[in-house]
Amino acid sequence: MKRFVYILVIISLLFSAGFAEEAENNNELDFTPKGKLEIKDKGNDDGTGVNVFFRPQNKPEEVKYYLLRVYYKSVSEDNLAAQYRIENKDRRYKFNVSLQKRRKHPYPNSRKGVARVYVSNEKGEAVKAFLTESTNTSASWFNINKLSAFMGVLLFLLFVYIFIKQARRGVEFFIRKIPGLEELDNAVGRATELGKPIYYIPGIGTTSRIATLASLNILAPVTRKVAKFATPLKVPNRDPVVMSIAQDVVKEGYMAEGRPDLFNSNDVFFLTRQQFAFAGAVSGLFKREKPGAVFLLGKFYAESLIFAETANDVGAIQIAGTDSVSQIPFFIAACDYTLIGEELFAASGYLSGDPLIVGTMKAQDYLKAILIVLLFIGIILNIFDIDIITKYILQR
Amino acid sequence: MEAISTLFWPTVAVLLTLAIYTFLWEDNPIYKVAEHIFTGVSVGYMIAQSWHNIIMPKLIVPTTNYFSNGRYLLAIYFIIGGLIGLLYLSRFSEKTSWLSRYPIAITVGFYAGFKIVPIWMTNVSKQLNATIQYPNGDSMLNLKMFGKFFDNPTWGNFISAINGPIIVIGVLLVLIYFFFSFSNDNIVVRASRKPALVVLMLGFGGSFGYTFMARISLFIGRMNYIFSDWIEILTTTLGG
Repeated sequence: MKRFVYILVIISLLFSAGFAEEAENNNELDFTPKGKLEIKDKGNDDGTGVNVFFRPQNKPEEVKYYLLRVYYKSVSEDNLAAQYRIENKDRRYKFNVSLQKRRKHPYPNSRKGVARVYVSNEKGEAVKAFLTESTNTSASWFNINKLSAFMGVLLFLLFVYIFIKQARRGVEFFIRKIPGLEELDNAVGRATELGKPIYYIPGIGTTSRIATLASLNILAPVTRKVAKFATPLKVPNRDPVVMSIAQDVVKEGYMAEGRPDLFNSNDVFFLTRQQFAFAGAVSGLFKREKPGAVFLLGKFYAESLIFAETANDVGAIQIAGTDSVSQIPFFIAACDYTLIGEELFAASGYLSGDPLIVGTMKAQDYLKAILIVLLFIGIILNIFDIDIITKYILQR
Repeated sequence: MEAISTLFWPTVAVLLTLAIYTFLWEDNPIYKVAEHIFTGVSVGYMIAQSWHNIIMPKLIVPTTNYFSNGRYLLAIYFIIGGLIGLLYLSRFSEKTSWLSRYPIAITVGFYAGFKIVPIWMTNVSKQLNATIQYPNGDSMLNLKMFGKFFDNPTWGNFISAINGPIIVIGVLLVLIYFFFSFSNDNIVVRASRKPALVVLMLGFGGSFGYTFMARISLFIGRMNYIFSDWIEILTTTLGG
């Protein structure tokens, strides 16, 4: 009987302890948590962003920490988009939250955001929820923050249209000499005299890189020059899509010079997508075939010096060009001629004289002139604390 | 078996590293073996990676899911994408190779258009904004900085005062350097050419040193792996 009483006492003690803990969790606070919570559609986005504002109204001595949880669709652990532990410093807090959960819900994205604030304990756990707000979000057709980009692009397109039209009418535009390209004929001629192949590396970028597209544009006139001398041209590629385009470009180059017989699709080949495996393979090819001329034009990264040094080692004349600022110094150090940044983009127009490209170059120059003027005005206005240019036209 | 994971593979890594370094002497069969292993393995890895990271999760799984959920329109949308991608394979035939130009045209066209706004924002707008003002909103040609320097002529105040003007002048000179419509004999181009090249070379020099430092760090890491980590594994495994 005694044992039974003991067991009853122990069980009742356990229960009372459990109830006490539950009561504590169940939000028996000695103050009323207060605050102002707002959740607003961020706007100018795809409808997945919300801005949440929270202003605590309890003193830091009462509530030291809050916990803000933001959900998409509804309050549920599965729908939790973000949570923040807020230390009460008696100020207004702002959070940019993305309701997008691509892994779980690729399509469609959330259209409702819910924010809930809890009083939090020292461990960062939620103790009591006291504020909940929600908002519906909507996707915007137009991002007004990028209006200046839109206007700039429109202006540029207008220039491009005008100059291409003029070029097609027969107006000849002047393009200044680009030293590296002046040596193109010499490089091809030297490789021909030595009876060695020419290697053209269009970089390791994909077609999403403007430098790669510029390089493929330059490949066309280079192929035409090579075709005149019937020198073997080899184009190793890191990207299969770039390889396909390069094959077509080389083929058309040979055909344009009336030498389709010189085209061999195996000369424009894919090696590997791994950056340094590609660098190793190309270096090996340079060492074994000892090219007379090497063109390194396009997007390059850390492998640039490996290419340039190996080609230099085998005595090839090198013409390099890239828009990767961190790689240009290596090309300058190891190559015979280097196209710096925008010279790479200008090169295709310079070599081909194609009205489309030359007209575009002219448009670029005009746009640059306008930007220089804007820069001047912006600097002068900024000295007098007038930020109209930096706020509305050249935004950060 | 444990020795395979603890000693064999690290030893293979060390041998392949040394094999690649033999290229510094000259092209040789050991380098060729390492080069071909590296190239072959990377291509094989790429195929598996494309299958598991692209084809399965981004084409086959969503298509089957949408079909099973009855969302046929979305499923068809994925199927059309897959079919356009398959057109790449038409390159294997002379007669049909022209079809491969469609996916290429879509890819190139998409990226050319897609990149316009980001490039404007990052390469034009933000850069020029940063040439006009500091991140805190102060003007790059902040005359107060010069006043501060003349009041208290220290080296730090001097650098703070000339930092902004150097950036502004440098940007202007380099922008003029990249004008292609003026002849090299044009007086503005001729006068700005050398200073612009100095500015460019200063920038490239800094970039060169920084990148070189990173390469040396990679080399040290590799040597550390061979002479510290691997030697330790070797002595522990063989000694134990």
